[in-house]
Amino acid sequence: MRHPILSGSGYKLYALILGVVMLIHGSVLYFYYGLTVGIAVGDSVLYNALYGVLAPGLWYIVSFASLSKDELALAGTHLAAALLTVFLWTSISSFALGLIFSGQIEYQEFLDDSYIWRLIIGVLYYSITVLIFYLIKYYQDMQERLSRELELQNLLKDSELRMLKSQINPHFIFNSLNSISALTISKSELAREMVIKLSDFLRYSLGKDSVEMNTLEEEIKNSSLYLDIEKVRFGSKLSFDKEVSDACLDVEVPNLILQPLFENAVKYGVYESIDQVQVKLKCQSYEGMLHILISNNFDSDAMPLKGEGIGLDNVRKRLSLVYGRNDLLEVKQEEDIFNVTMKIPTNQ
Amino acid sequence: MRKIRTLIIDDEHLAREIIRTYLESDEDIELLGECSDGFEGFKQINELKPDLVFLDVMMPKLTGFEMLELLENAPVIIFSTAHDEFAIKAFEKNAIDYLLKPYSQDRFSEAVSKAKLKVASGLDTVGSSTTGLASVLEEHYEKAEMISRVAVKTGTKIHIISVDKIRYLEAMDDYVKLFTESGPFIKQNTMKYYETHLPIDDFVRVHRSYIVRLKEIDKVELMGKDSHVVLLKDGTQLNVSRSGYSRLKEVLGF
Repeated sequence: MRHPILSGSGYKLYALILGVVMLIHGSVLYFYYGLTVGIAVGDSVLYNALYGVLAPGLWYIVSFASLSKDELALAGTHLAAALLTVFLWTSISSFALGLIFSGQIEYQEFLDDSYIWRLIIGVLYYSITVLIFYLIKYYQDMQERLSRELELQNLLKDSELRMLKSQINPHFIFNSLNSISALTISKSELAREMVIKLSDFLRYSLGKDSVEMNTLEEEIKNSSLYLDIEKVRFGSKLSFDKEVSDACLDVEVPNLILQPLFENAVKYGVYESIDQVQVKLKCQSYEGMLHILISNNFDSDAMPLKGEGIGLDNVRKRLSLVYGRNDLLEVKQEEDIFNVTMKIPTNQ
Repeated sequence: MRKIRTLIIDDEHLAREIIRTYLESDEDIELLGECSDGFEGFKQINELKPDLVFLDVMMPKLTGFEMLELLENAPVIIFSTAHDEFAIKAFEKNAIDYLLKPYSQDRFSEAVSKAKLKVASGLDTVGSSTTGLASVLEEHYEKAEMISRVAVKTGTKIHIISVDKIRYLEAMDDYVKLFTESGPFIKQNTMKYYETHLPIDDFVRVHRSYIVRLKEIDKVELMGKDSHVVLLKDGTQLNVSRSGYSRLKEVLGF
């Protein structure tokens, strides 16, 4: 634990406080008790300077004593420390002052009279010092806890984000490879094109681990690759239209945040339908928000085999982790159209 | 030797193309046609009665398995899919082989050779050679995924019923009668299958012959000494066995 006086610039404030106390102490002796300037200064400086040397040591008692939970032991520790400190301080300073100003009879009397008061003031000084040390200690503990919590949260967020990031469906890859295998027989040109698209898509999806944000333009480009590949597999059954205003393209979005939405559209639209499915993307930017709408028609007679929405849930979780808001993803179903609206704050 | 009459069922045209190409060089194969979904596949199998079918699993609306369940006389099946997790189920359905996409011509030929032997042996393909797999299948049942729909047929028409629409089920020898909101359907399957595959929170087996949706139960009544019945909301009365009664007690908490 950092010492509040000895480490850093705490000693400056400490010296200032000590100076003020000395000034008050000296003034009282000079103006109220009518002692000479020399004696007032001597008493004030020696007496307070000695405490000034002793006090920083109390920090160690505070640090040590707060570790024990036993209240009785704590009280005992402080009582002993207070008695020892105050007794040592008052005795040494009185003895020294008595020696220095040995010729002054009046002052010797004053010194004897004030001994009891000095003890009482000593306890008060001790109490105030320890109280302040405790406050500082609590403050330091709290700071440390806060920063540790923050660190932990960031760590958690990191691992959670990595987990939530769209994972490439292996069946998509194997089915694509099977299509390529077929294309090599008669349409080698198309096969090569598809290999390149699949490679680009995989490179983007697998390699973007460290970067947390990407421009919308890159994201759309990547998802277009994905849809192109699916189009080769499903032919005219899948069509894709996009309407993206130029202002949206440079906006930064969490990487691979669009991909699960497109995969969802293809999974519940194209995979489950016998008729044509139209996937639409629309992006607009207004009111400090990027509005991304992805829609697809689907066969309302089809009953999906597995529970819907794991992909959507992940996107919602990621958005709330990145932006701290839960209202950024909206899902709406109108007869046979499935609409997903995603909002991305642009004014960061 | 008579040619092996073959059908391809896959929703992706390129996947069909590669099978077609691999088959071209085989003199023993006569390709009857290609289907792009399970409904058409069902129709074509019933009409053309092929010897051999190449079957994809994941297809729109009706999976390859669901289609297969509806067939009375299944041909020899070679599955062709990118999903490796269905292999056990495929052999349970008497598949002769299971090809994982993408596959080589050699691997494909191996499967076709097996199919030829099977066709030549002329055995009834349904209900044979599964005994050896019994323990594996039993295990497979145990950790089976819950089903969300059931494919049934009336005549030649296929219906897909959502599990949510099933009110109760009744055992009928080798069949199970599913009572739904839109009437009863008969499906070749076992009560054991439905007991393990229907959502456990929604259904309870009250009797050797009955599985009931909990929400359909109006009341449980004592019927004579020691025996109980459940009354459904529409007035249907179903017998409850002793073990069924204790299961009911457990899930309904009375």
